[in-house]
Amino acid sequence: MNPIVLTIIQIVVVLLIAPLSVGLTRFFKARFQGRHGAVPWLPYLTYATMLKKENVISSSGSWMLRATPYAVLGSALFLALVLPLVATGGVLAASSNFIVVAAVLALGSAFLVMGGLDTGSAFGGMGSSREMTIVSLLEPTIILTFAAFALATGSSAVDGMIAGSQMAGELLITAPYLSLSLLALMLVALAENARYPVDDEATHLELTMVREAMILDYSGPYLAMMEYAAALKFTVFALLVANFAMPTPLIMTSSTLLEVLLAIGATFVKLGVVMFAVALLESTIAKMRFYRVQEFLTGAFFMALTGLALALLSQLL
Amino acid sequence: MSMSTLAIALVISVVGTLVAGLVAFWPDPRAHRASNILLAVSAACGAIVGILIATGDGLLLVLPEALYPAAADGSAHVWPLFYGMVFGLDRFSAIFYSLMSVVTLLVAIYAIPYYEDHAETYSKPGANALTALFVLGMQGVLLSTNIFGFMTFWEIISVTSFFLIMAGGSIASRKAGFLFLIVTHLGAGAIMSGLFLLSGGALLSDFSVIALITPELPQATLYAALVLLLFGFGSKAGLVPFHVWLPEAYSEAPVPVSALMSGAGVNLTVYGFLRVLLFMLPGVPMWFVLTVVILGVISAMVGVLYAVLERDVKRLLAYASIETMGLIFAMIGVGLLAGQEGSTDLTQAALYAALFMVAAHALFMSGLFLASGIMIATVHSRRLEAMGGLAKRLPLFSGAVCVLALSAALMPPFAPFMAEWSFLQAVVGALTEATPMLKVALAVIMAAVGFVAGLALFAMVKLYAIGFLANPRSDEAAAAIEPKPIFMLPVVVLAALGLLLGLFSPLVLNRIGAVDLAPADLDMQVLATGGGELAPLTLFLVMAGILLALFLLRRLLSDVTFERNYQTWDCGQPTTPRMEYTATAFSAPIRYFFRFFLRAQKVVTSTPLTPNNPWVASRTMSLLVSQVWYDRLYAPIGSGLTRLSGLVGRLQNGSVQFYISLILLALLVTLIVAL
Repeated sequence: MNPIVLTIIQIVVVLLIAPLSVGLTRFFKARFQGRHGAVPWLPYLTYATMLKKENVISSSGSWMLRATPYAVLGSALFLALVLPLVATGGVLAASSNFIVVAAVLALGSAFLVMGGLDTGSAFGGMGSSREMTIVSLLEPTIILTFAAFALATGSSAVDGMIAGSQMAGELLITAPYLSLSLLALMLVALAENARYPVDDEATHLELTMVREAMILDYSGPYLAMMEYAAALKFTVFALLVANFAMPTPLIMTSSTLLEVLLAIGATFVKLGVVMFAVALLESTIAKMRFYRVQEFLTGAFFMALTGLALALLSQLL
Repeated sequence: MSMSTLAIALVISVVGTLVAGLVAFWPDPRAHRASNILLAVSAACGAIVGILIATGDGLLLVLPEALYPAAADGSAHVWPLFYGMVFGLDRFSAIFYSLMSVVTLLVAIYAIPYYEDHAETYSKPGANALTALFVLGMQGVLLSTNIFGFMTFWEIISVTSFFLIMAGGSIASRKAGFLFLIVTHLGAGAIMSGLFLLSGGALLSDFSVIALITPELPQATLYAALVLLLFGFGSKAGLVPFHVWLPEAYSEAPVPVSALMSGAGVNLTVYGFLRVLLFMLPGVPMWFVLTVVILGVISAMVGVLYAVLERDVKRLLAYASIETMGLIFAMIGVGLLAGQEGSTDLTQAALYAALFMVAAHALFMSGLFLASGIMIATVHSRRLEAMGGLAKRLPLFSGAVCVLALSAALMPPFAPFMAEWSFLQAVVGALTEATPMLKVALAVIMAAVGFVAGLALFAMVKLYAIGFLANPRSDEAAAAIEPKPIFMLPVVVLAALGLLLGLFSPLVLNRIGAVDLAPADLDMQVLATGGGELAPLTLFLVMAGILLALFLLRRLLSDVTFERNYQTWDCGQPTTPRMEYTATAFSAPIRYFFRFFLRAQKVVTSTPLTPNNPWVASRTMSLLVSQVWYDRLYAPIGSGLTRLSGLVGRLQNGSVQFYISLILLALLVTLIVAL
């Protein structure tokens, strides 16, 4: 199959299921908490409604306020295009170098932060300050986590890290120390996607918000873009973590039509499992006070460092 | 172009600079413009020569083959002057020469409106003449091929910068000037003694001759020279803990001078350091290399932490400059370390990443300093807290600054990111084959670079967001208008150059000799090292394509005209600029998380309306961030010196006979020692 077709299949599938990730988490969470909950596909309707609503622009804002939704959604789209989520060996696989991925992720967050500050509200500033702190202190963790994978798989492109193993759990069996790095990646994913214990997407208290505080002043189509970007990023991270744990079945250039359908079906299963786990986590632990988040971040950092150290040690043996 | 044409153009660039300095004193109102235009033209000349030689084929020095040369070759463009002194450019110095010239060209253009607007603060003839002399000093350092020339021009730079820093005439700028003078002379003394130790005391011997005698030097001499040179170049580059002068000097100097010092002057320390290490020495000991790495990493981390906390725009940039110089020295150190441990791929990638970072730093840092001048001129304050709202009032200018800030934050697709990528990717690639010692060092370096990159983004987002976004925090900021085009032009050009240098980084790196990092068989569009590849242009096109697609989709799926303006939501009450997050508040979490190191002291004083009424009439907050090197290093040295001079003071009892007997005693001791 043509690499271009692979990328197109991947981006279409990921774009289509992205709102489902948010819907599923909320649905599972509601069930855990004894509520009936909304249908998992509610976000599709929400985003479609937002697109039709009037766009209210803060009169304090500059061009940055308008640039932010594009930059944030663009950064998430870039990740969805280059990372091996549904298919490996796509046409943009060479751009999935982990340093580039980390930088594009940070670039999107930087614009989110600037957009939050541009409205001039204290809530936006507070959310921005917190988000910036989390993002900047996560940077070394991301680098070290992927460095361990790069060392174990011999590829610096995330695509190559996953494409190397074609058996379920192969990566973790051949290199068990990578489970620490995978755990670190999960912690990164929670922090990057405004999840417990770092942030709470369902909060209505501005003082506890991180991400929500930054997008308070977006409405209509811009809000739809921001929300969709968040859902897309969440889906990307969920599938990435799932693929590191279980890299098969993914669509490759040699796949038959049946395998393609199987991989797409598996994507839904992976997403469902991860969202179930996230909902379980969010229903069992409490959110951390912001000034204790450094403990979480430090923990993630040392997890990643240990993973890399073990990867280096295992080479000596 | 023939060699003689190049040589003539080079002479024009030097003589033109000298004439620009003289023209400054021409008693005519046009002298100011004439001097700066002449400086710009000669810098343009120098830039062309520098670029042609740096990218020319078959010219003299190719890294890293020249890493430990038996004998460095002569110079490309050689003509004898008095005492047989030889000046010239080789491929290595040409890189720095072209960078220095590009920055000078843009700074000279910027200086025309800047000094006209600040005529009551700075004397135009003095500033122009000193700036030209400063540039002449930089040219001389790069053209010199012996110790005498190198040190003479080095001193010209130091003395002219001393007067330029003090040009503002305020108490603070005088203090900064003297601090600079002390540190720079300690440094210059160290460099001179280090070079003399290497050359065996010969003043005029050529660098290539020194390269011949260094292998025979006794170890102790070599080690002493290395320590002196590291201190000399490191203190001038602003490595922690010798950096105390840098934030003061950069923030007090006139803006064009800050830009010139940070964008061109500081590069010469890297030039001098590498010139000695790569072209004059047979090899350096392991402890020295490790010291360079550690000093670099500490400088980068401390620099970036203080940049995050800083609220004064020029001081923030100064700390960001310390951070980048720290990264550059760390890259150089890792390159040398890898060379000793046999990872030659990493050596090449790290050294060229360092060189590329020097180029990127020159562009973005001078651009940001020039931009800070416009920001300061607009709001009449260096405090970020007095800014805000500029993006709405100065959209074009704010866009250029946004680009510069993102490039300083090591974001793709700008030039500094390409340097960071090359370095990190080479480090990851070298992990597999490295020796155990190197593996540990590389893992630590990776974590440190990640830390620095993350916080650099924090500092730059803060600079841009607090300075330009939201509502203006002062009346001056509210009344801001777009600056004059000639004022803005250098900033825009530097932002654009940073982008272009990033997009065409493989081409540039290949042309200056990094043939493995940017291989020619990949059409010079791909950086490849350590098993990873990066195509900057493709990356940029993908990013641009995504944005274009989003732009079109937004128009397709929603109605762009269906919108209105309304005030920011704030629980139903109107917002005022005083509710906005300030620079202090924005960086508060970092201040808290790193309190064990920063030990910031925040004091909030509330004044009650009347003594028995708790209603607050006014409230002030002061924030003091402690600086470890002051408390632990400089304060003990200072008090020790004071105590010592107090003891010496006891000798001064007023009795002439006692003094004479002391002289006699000193003479006796001297004679005993000498004989």
